[in-house]
Amino acid sequence: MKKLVILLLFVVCLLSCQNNDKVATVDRAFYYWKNDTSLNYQDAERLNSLQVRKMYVKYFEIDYNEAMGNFPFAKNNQINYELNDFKDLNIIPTIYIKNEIFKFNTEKSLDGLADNIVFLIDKYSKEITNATTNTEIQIDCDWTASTKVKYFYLLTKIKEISKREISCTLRLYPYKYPDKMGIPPVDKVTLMCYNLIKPLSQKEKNSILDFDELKLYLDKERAYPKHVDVALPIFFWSHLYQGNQFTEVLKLNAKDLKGFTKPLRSMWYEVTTDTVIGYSTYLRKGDKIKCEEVLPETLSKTIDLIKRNVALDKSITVSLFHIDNQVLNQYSNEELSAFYDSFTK
Amino acid sequence: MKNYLLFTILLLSSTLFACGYSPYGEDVRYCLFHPAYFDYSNYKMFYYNANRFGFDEERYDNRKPFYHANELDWYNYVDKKVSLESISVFMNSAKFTDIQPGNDSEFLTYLYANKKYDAIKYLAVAKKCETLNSITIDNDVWERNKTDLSKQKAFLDDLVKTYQAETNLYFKKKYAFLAIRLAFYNGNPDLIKNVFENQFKNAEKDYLYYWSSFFYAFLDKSDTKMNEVAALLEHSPEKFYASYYFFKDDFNLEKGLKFAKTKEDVANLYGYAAIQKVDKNLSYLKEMYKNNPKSKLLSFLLLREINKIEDWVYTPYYTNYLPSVQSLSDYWNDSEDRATTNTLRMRSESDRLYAKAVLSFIHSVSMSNIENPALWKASEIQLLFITKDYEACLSKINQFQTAYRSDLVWQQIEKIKALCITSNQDFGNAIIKPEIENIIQKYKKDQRFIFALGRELEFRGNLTDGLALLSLCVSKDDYSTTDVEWRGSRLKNSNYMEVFYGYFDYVDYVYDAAELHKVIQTIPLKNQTDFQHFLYQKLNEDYNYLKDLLGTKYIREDNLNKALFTFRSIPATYWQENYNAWERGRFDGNYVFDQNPFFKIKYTEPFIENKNPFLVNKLSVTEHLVNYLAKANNPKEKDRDYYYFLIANCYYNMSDSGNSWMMRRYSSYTSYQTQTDYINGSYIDEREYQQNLKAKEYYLLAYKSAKTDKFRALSLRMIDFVDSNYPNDFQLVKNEFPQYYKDLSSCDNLNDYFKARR
Repeated sequence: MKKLVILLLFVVCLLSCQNNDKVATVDRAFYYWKNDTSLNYQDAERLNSLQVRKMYVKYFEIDYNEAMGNFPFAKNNQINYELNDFKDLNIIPTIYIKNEIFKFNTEKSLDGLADNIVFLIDKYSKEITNATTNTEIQIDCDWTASTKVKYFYLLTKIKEISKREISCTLRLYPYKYPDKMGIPPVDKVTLMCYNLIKPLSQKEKNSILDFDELKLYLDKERAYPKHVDVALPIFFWSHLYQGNQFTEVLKLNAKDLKGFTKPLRSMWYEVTTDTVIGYSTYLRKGDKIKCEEVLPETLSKTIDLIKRNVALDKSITVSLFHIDNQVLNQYSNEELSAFYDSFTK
Repeated sequence: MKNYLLFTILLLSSTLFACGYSPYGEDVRYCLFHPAYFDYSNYKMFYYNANRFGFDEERYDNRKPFYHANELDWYNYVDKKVSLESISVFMNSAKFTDIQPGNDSEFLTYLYANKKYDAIKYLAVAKKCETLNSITIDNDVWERNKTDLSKQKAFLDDLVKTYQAETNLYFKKKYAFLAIRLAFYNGNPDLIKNVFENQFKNAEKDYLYYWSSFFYAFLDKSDTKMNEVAALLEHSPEKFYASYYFFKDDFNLEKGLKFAKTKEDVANLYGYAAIQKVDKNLSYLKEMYKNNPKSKLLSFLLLREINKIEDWVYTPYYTNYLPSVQSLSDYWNDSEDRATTNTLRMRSESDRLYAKAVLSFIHSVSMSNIENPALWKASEIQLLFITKDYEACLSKINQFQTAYRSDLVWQQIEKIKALCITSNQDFGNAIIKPEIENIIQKYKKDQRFIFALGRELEFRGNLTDGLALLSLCVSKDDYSTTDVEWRGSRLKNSNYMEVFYGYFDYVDYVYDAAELHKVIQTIPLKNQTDFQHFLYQKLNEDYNYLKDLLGTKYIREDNLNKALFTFRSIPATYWQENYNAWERGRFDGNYVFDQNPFFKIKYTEPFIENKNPFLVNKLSVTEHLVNYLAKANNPKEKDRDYYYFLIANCYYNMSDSGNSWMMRRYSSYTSYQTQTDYINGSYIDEREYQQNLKAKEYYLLAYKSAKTDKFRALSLRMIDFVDSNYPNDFQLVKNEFPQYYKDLSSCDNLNDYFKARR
């Protein structure tokens, strides 16, 4: 009997040790980013049925100019109506800060900026009556080694003034090189596993998510000294080239291209019939289109790689970037559910 | 027809007009003498008002509705043992099937408990009758042009039998009325005639008589019936509106008078003729008084007449709007636009003379003879104020106070007292007297009263206290008719008047910097008493915004040093919170200084390097403007052309086409009114705002101080540009520098030409 108890304790201990390395629960989340995002009742119902209870909503972006100093723009301050049909939603106000602003700011002016950011977040949050908005603030910024001191100072100030949990986004480069890029003074980070390549820079690679490129960053298991959440891309876009010259970004996926194009090679299509898109874009026969989207298989591989090489806590948030009626319609409920659940398997 | 009426109501709804159109009608009608102070709510369909179709009577008088005569009759029948309320609920809501023992109606319970079976039987018949009344041609839902009236007819036959068999006179009359009414809906004129003439014609004229006479009147095609119809307006509140609605088209006063049998008939006929008269009505009032001084209708019509005079006198006097009740054709002809403050004042003064005539009539009346002495005395006080006999008005108020202090109307008299005390002061010496401070606080929510008081002070030269009162009138977003809207112009003889919903915009448009400066100097001194704290709460809250406005006015008046001094006196936090995108102050995202007015021209690629950028706000722009002007005007300065050019850019940008219009205005607009009298009557710098005279002046100075032809050409090009924007012929450049014309016709080479300054 004594031996049996010892054996049982050993098994329990073994199991619990194993579980330490595995994600047990995933909070399902989305990013609400674009000002022209439109969600209908069906979208809300889908997200409700998928148990999505968290949404990172970009409230505004911050830039700088000489006449105004730091200023907010691209404001998303009319979204209360869009959220009417969601259930038990927790909104995380998210602010994108252009890294370039730090060049023009001192600590003193950053104090003012932090105060303005928190003021405007609070103002817009009060206008949202259908969701919780006061648990956390997320700051999104592609900081560099040269701006990290000022950026981190700003993060500290925002925390100090808002008295809320602060998270920030983390690109793969600062994730891989924390010594050089610093560790942001926040409560947690969200690892952004996309946009690794500059759009238009490499014609044969998918600038949204290139798995080979991703592997360069997630090349071995690493622990990051902050709680890490994960953001994955589900958006798409197409780049139009006319006369070999890039002319504009189109909100079209591969399915949309069928009927007036023919495939050339991976991601590339050629227009075969003159076509007007959205009353404004005239596609002529012979124009080339590079269609970038993320296939479910690529996302599955990405998740496996993250699970192998990123030290994740037991409970994490997985966010899909970004929510939009057209983007949602790309995937079935099962596929979307699988993106979240794969982390716990 | 219903749809047409609905359409008309919507079309003429003042709320709709208020949204996007100049307010009119009830939005602007001035009324201090509210009908709700008096007991005439059963005449409320005839209250004087600007909404001629289906106005919402509840908005004008939300007092408890009066009880109908039959409800009062039943109340007496049950010896007042049952509440009137329960009787009223039964009459209005109960159905035939509710009439049975055990029903929880207090009224029915009493009837059953006291074995009032006659009454119960009658009520059952009456409730059945209610259903059958509504079977008319309107219920022909299948549109077969026929309605089955057989059930109604059968019931009517039984009803007549019941009526004939009834021996109790109390119930017999009630059955008779039911029969007459049902016969009307059943199309049986003979029966109406027969029952009415047998039961009512020579009987006592109680409420059932009048109710029945209403239906009987439909049978009579002659003018004699008008005596009966007009009497309804005096005696039968439930039929007031119906008697007017159905018979007004056939009414002719002269013909009716020929058939009047009694003095009361004469009074009633004048009353009927007067009830919706929108013009002067004094002669009819006199006739009514002569023939029936005790008439309730006469008292109501006096109240209506006072409301008219208020509209004619107060509306133009206090708001600069025409009186609200006028024919629609006047409205569409833009007659308001042709009125000036001066002409409106003169009209208002001539209507005060009519008020004097009505006052004389009241003085001629014996107060012991009339129906409602409190109303007549209150009217006298109102008219004494309107006719500016302030001493007599105050004396009458003192007398009134003794007798009627506890009456509802005392609220009105207190307001008139405050207005009277305030108005009874000379220009330049008017103040808010201590004895009216309580009245102001007590009635602070009556915006029309507070506004009128503010205007009286303003008219007497006390702008500061006047504005403090105006500032308490805060317009609500719902376009409520209790809000105050008014118009005004900087010049009393200008045809162009702006519409105002708040004091700030009013000061912005109408008053000059010197006048506002006095106000701003006074505000901090008005901080001593509790009343001053109350009165000046808004102005104190707005203090920095008012200073901003003062500085802006100095900019408009081209007094830059005073503008700079004023802007510098505002705390830095004000500039941090306003005129940017952080939404911390009052101004929204349209009030953002997002470009430097010296170095950037809107919609044009930057072509001047800004070596010393600064955060742009009114203070920094003014500082730089003063600084650059000092440099440009200094003959020893070697870069005078440069500074003149920057100054010209700034002046251009301070116009509506520019990026810094906030320096001169609180809203961005492009005026298409370029007529001289509009420009003269509008903002003091409207010409500059539209025509960029200063910008042209300084580009010309840049041209004159330039050292190279290319810079001269650029300066001329900018004169052409600010004169008429794009597309542009650039005529000055074409004439003087044809060789550069092509380069300067677009924006592409501006940078090269600017650099060619040296």
